[in-house]
Amino acid sequence: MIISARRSYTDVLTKQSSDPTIKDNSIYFYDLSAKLNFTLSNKDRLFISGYFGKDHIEAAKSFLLQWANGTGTVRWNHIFNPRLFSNTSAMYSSYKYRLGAYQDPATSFTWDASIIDYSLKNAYTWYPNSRNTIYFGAEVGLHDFMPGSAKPSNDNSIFNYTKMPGQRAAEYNLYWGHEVAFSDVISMEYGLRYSSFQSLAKGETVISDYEGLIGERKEPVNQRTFSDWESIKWYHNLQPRASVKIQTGKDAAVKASFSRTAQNLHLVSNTISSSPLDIWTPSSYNVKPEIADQGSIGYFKNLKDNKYEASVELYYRKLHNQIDFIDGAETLLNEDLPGDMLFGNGRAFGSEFYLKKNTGRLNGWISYTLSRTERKINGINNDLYFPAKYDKTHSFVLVAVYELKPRILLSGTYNFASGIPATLPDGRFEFDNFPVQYNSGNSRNNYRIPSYHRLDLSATFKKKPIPGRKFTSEWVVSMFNALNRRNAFSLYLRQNENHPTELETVRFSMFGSVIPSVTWNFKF
Amino acid sequence: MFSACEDTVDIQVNKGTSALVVEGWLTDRPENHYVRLYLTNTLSSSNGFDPVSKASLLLTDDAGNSEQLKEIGPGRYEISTMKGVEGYTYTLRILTSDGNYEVVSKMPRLSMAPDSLTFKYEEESVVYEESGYYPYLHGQELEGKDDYIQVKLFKNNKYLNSAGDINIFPDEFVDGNYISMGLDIDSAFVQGDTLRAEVWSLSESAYNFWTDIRTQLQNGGIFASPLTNARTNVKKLAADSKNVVGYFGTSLVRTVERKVE
Repeated sequence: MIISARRSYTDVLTKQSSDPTIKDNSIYFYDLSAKLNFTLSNKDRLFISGYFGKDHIEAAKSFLLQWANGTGTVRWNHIFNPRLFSNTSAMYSSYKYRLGAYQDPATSFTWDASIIDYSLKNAYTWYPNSRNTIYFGAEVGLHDFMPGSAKPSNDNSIFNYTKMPGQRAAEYNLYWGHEVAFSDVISMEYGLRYSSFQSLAKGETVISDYEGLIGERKEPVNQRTFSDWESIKWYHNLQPRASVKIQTGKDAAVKASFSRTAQNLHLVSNTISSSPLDIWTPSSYNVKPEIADQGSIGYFKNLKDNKYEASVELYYRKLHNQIDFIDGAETLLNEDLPGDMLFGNGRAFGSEFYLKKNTGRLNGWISYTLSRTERKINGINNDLYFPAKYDKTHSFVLVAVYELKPRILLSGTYNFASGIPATLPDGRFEFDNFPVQYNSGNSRNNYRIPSYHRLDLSATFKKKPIPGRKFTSEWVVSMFNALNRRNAFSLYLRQNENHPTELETVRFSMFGSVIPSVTWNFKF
Repeated sequence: MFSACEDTVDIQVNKGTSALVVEGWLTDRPENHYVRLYLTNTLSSSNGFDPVSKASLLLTDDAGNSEQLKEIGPGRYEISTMKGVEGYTYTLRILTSDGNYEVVSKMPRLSMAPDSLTFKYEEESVVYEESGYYPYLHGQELEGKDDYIQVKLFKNNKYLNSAGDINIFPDEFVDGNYISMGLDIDSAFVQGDTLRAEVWSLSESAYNFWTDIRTQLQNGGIFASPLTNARTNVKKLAADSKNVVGYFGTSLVRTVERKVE
């Protein structure tokens, strides 16, 4: 049996501050986890585990953000014979988040959202002989989404209680996987997953079609009602995969693979980074599963007696049923969210190069990726392909570790990446003394923010271990962002504070200076 | 919550193509109203805007009134005889040498007539960046959904035009309730300041237009969303007309005023 618990103590420190903007805040997280094993017989074992954690951020009793995760699993492991065993598990998982604004009793509210999952799995592993491994099984799951309820926090609040209806979905999966080594030269792995996703009514559920002009909010029509637990729509997906490895020489191999995957859980987000308040929505009558087909091929070679590892890989990925949003989409507390959605395709392709030195006083690795990921959504960018929000043309990493002396290690990391895209205006006008930005081509991601590069350096000094004593320690001195570069995270325009009718361009960075640190590690 | 860094930079963007800007609003106030026509400018230009002169603007309503607007200055057209009346549907037809346009706007009811303004003193804190007086607006919201209002603020007779001063509200979550709510302001008030709050009724599309402007100006940071053009209610009458931006709206306006004692 194992039990562990931890709690952060940032709030104990902040309460000591005399600065009111720091003192009145409360930030903490805690979690608890436990795992128990029981041996029921010489062929059966039972594992029970649970986890519960909560993050709490509160600013001066005015503003509250909370996340709570809880999960529990019961797993029964059964051995049929030395070649075949099964794991049968039942799982429960709940994810809850809460936002509260309390600074003014008249406009106070608490907003809650949650996702609860239940699943049952029966998984088998079978070793018919030393060259074959087979996995197969069945899974059943139920998902309950509550994407938002906003409650006024006292009677004087001007808000009315609002609750989104929420969604319910079930999934049924069967899978088969087979790893086979035909000979010392060729080995292969393939599998097939058959998944059925069922959208179910949660309470009295109203389903609509959405009609309107592409690129604008569509209005709901043809409303029909389904009663609690009634089946609304099924999606069936076959997800095959295969990969093969061919040994072409003593130290060289070619690998190729193909896979198709279906994703039934969709993140509803139209921001640069996923916000902690983004909601998730399951596939439903209006939202189809996202499908991806991917193929890759690579050549791997070890050089100079395994002193060096090198590889080259190419990949291509085609995406279907991608989701985006209209301009001005309402993503929170919107009962007609599908009316604000836009759909289309995507594709991603690229090449990756890798070289690693394993031995010697100087070792490390270099990798370089040249790639492109883009989307083509009806209603965005005039229906032409545009780069996805995280598209980086070049990405380069160099890691080096040098043993200066037996107990002194120097290391450095260099990161370079092309700037990610941004959507910027090319014109402006004024309305009621406010400056207004204008994107004349109506294009998306028409600009690249400046490139990212960063150098990190560190030196590790290991203390001479005293013979007979178990205690060892080392000092690590490091500089994060040693080039003192202010890398842009995003670029946007805002009013000039002194001249509100004028616009200025702002570079937003996560950090903009060298961050030095000293660490003392010890073991006993 | 993150102490990240922001600094201003210069960027080079393409020139793009210019569009016609329509800037005009009709209210029920006993005064003349104006429609400005001009062209958008490039991002880096610090000059004014090129007005569009000699255009023909015809305003009609569904009660049989009509007026041909007179150009009283370069690109500035005056509405002097027609008045804004609740419930009337107004049509503005614009004919220029680069294209023909039409706007239709129905004068929305004012769902929250303001009773009064009050002020509350707040100390500097995480929520209130400055210590000072913060204004609250009070009034009864009429029952019936899909109403929208804008509150325009004037501090000591000066119009507050920072993004943090834009106040627009839907009635979706407060329909039919008596409202007492804090107004968003960019900087706190001090003793002796006077505040004039004008409550303008908005249609849903005018609310969307102002939401887009506010989103553009308050966008940024980690959770920025892509730039979107402010949704206009001006329609092109021919596909080859020059692109058009801006808005011609209609509103009822009621005002309250108060001094910080």
